[in-house]
Amino acid sequence: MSPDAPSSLRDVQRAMSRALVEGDTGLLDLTEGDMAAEGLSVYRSGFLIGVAVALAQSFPVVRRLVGEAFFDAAAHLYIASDPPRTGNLDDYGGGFPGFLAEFGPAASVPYLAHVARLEWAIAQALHAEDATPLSADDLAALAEADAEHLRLTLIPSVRMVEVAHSADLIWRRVLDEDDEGLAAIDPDQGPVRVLVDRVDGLPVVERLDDAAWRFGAGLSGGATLGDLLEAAGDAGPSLLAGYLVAGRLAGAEGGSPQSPTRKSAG
Amino acid sequence: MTIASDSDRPVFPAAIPVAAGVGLRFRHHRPVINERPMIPWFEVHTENYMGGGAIPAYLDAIRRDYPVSLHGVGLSLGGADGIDEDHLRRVRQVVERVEPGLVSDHLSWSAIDGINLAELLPLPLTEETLAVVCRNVDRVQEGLGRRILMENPSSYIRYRHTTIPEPDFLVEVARRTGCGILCDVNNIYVSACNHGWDASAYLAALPPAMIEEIHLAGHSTRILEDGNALRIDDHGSIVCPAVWRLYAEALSRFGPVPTLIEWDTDVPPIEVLMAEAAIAQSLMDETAKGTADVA
Repeated sequence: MSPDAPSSLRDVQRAMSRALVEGDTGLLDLTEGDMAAEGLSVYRSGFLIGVAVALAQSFPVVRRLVGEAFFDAAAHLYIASDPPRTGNLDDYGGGFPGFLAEFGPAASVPYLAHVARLEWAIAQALHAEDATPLSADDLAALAEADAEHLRLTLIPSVRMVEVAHSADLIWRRVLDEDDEGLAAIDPDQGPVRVLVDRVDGLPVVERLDDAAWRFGAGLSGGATLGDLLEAAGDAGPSLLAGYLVAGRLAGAEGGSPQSPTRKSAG
Repeated sequence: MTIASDSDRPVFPAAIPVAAGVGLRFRHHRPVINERPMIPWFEVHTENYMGGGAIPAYLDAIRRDYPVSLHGVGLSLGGADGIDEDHLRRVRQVVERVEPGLVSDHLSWSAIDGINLAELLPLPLTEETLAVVCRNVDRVQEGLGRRILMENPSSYIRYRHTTIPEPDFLVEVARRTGCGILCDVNNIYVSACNHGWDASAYLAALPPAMIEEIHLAGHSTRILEDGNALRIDDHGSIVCPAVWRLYAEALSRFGPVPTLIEWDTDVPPIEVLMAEAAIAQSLMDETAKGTADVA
């Protein structure tokens, strides 16, 4: 564009976006004053540092595992390759586990991407919308109407994820600063399936056996209660009770007996 | 965590008093809930309280005893693409939950082409931008069902094709959309130093009736290789003497206005913010007394 012609707002904003994400300095042609280059670098470092801080909040164990310098370097490369899409940085970082899985300098730490995948599920659980779980009375009332075709679901904070390399154990011991326990973990273990939730504002991670995993996956996938119980066989009633007692069942599709209301996490 | 939660509704009256409040950050949640300090009101960043879980629950508990103002950093009011409806919906959810006395965001932009740069970025102040900002503010006020305040930003660059002085731009947005102005005195000082503007003239261009809140914060100064000084609005220190003087000047023009102490980098204990707020309160009290004496 000609330096003499006024730039449209959109041109200016695209040039700034290229400056922040890619390090391009074409925007300086649209500015005036002696300190424009330095000023632009303040915006760029503010962007990279601010977004990296948000990533560090969602991936604290990954950060402790690799150290601050490595984390920040990886974060800056990731931010440039996949910048934020919304105005709420809690949404940002879903692609970071996949980025780490492909990140050459982290190749010697095969469990890192798995810990990151677990931490992303945890971050989502911690920020998920509040919901009132079904009580036993709610469930009884729903089941009385039509148990066979009833479709239950999970409360929004529940996440189910598969991780390998003992990532769930590594996560726990890093959080507990249990270096001895950490050293004793065998990172060459195959995949395990875990349920992630929050309780009193803190994350919980529980390993699931195959039956509990299938049951939970069926719940979140919208299966009818009749199909779920049939597939689970003898274990069905106790699996259903487990989710109910943990407060992880939410209203049935087509309306719960009480409309969901906000509930304190505490 | 022990937060009593037998009601969804905030109980303390919403109105922000004409007094010096404090920017509430995460490290202050527990001290405020446990000790109930004498602070007339709090302001929080709207985006920090979206969704559910423990953090919004802390704010629920605090809101029961204090008025709260919601200060946004993510609406991108100057964005050429218009307002992100999903973000506006989430702001509305926080507004409905908190029932704030004031809702504000910035004369800046952060999103273009689906990318959100998470910074308060500067705008070229032109007739085109004025139309975009007014359209966006209209949409936000319609979507929230209430007026907002727009804050003057601090900035580190300026565009060659800007044609409208920043205070005139703010006033015109307020005139066309009915929004109020959040006058950040530190930002005026920082931008005036960086761009060679006259800070007093900036204040003089703002009609007192439009000023509904004032912000104060600390900034840092970076000396460049050529000896120039770039002021950086990092909200990481106490308010500097020059900004206190400019605040006193603002009060003499606007009269007492709800005033907030902000601190975002290396956030100190709440007592440090209370000490800063006490200075602002004493200046406000002197202004009120001066006005009464004259009357």
